[in-house]
Amino acid sequence: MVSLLKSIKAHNDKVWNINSHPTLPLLATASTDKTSKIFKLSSLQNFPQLTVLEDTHKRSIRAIEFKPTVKNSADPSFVDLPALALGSFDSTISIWGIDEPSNIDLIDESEISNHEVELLTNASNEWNLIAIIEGHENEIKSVSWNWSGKYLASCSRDKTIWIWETDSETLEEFECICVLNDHGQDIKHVTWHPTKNILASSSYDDTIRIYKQDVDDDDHWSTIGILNGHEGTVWCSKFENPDSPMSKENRIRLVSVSDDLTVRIWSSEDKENEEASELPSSIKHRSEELVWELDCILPTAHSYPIYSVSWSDKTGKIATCGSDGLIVIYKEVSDGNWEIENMKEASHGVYEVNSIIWANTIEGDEILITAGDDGYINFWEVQG
Amino acid sequence: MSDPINANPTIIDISNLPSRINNDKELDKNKQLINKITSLSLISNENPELIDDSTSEESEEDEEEDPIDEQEIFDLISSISDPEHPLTLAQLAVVNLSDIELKQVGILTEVLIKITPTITHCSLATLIGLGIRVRLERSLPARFRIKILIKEGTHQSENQVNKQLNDKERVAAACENEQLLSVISQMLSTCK
Repeated sequence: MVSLLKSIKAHNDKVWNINSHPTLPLLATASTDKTSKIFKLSSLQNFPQLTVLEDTHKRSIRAIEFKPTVKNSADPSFVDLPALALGSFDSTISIWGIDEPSNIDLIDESEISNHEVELLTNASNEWNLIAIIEGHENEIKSVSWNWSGKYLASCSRDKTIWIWETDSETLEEFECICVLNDHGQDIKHVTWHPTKNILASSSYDDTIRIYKQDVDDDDHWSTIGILNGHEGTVWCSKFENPDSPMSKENRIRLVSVSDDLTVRIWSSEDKENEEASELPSSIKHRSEELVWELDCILPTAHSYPIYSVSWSDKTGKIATCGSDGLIVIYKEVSDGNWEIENMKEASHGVYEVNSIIWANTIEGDEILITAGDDGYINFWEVQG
Repeated sequence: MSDPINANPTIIDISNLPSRINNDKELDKNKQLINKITSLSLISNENPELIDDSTSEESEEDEEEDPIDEQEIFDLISSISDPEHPLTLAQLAVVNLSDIELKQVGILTEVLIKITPTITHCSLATLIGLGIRVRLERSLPARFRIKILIKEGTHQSENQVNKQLNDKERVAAACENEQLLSVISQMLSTCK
């Protein structure tokens, strides 16, 4: 069963994208109305709005992603502050974050986590513009942080992916260290592997490309896979989290959704460990190409383009949404064998649904969140 | 504009275009004739009253059922101006009633429109398609899913144009381009 917990009219125009913070109960939106809003993921508090990020982008905000939480092992009192990146059709990226709450130092170290969450998700925190990043020629379609928060990837209709390096704690400077221009067309989406410096890009050229950071050159990424098979624009893809219940060691899996109405799972053997030990450094400066195979095509459910997909690290379930307004939840009943577990029709009435994510509330429940052309954010409870 | 891409297009006379009003007239030719004759006679107020009645009844029905049919879609887009000729898309036979199809898909309604560019290398095909899409997106309720395709075999880069015209994101981004939007506004300025 998929039941509606809450529906919020967040924007007066399309919501293109939503994202939740990896560790804090925060949700952020990106809209055609050139604003982004941040909500607290608390069902008891009725998902209150914390702030609006505005007056910065001249055109639609297309993409949003929170920076992952940085842990500093050398300094246990270090508190990582929430920050996010917005990508806009105006071809720029903006970086936003909060100042350190003034009372955070007073807290005893052992208590830090509970209080920290309250302080960092408080509505009194002011979100400030930290940086504006320019470089792309035209519309930015997607932005994504790597697992450590050191690299930010962005992609555009200009057919390029830029990888920006920053100091993940201060976010002071963003330097472009690499431009990937292998796609023949508009690039729709980029996403990083949850624990490795591996990036996947989805394109209007119907392919997905996988890149990996070179072993001896941090500023160079090599293509380690080209996934051919989709017969239409690939709108979105997501890696399986290694913590996910069905994940296997030495196997990387990726799910992708497309204009061709299919949901595909691709997999590859992860040779990272062998590579490091067996090859002499002189010949391993480039990451080795991995063999990618189409694992399976999930049962068909959508009747119009599929725009977004999310792979739960908690349950391993995959959720999809798109132009037909349908939410589909897939469950892997045995290795490589997927079934439709749940469906919800007209999740935003007759409107198209642009983005879907699994997210955790402060109460500890995993919920599903969708965003539509109607400007609404819908929160769903899923019972298996 | 510089040299026109198609200097000598075939033009259809407006009176020969399909329209609901024309059809009704044809069906009621006899009635009209009678009306004309009676209006010439001494009974003066009858004729306007009759017309008033029929139109108000129709609009009431519209509110209840909201029946949007192929003719109504045609009416919405037929009077869009061609970007390079002082003619409408219907006069140039770029849009034709027979190339409009409506289909119910659950709670959604799909409208499929096949456009026929005046020449096979028409570089304005994308712009024309975009104008049609903008016109329909502005006029039709949200339950419509609009699909615009180049009629098979009428354009060199059919697939390319089709893909672009039906990519939601590309269309949204194009509509934020002020220059492009002003050209489209001009094309739509002749719409009723």
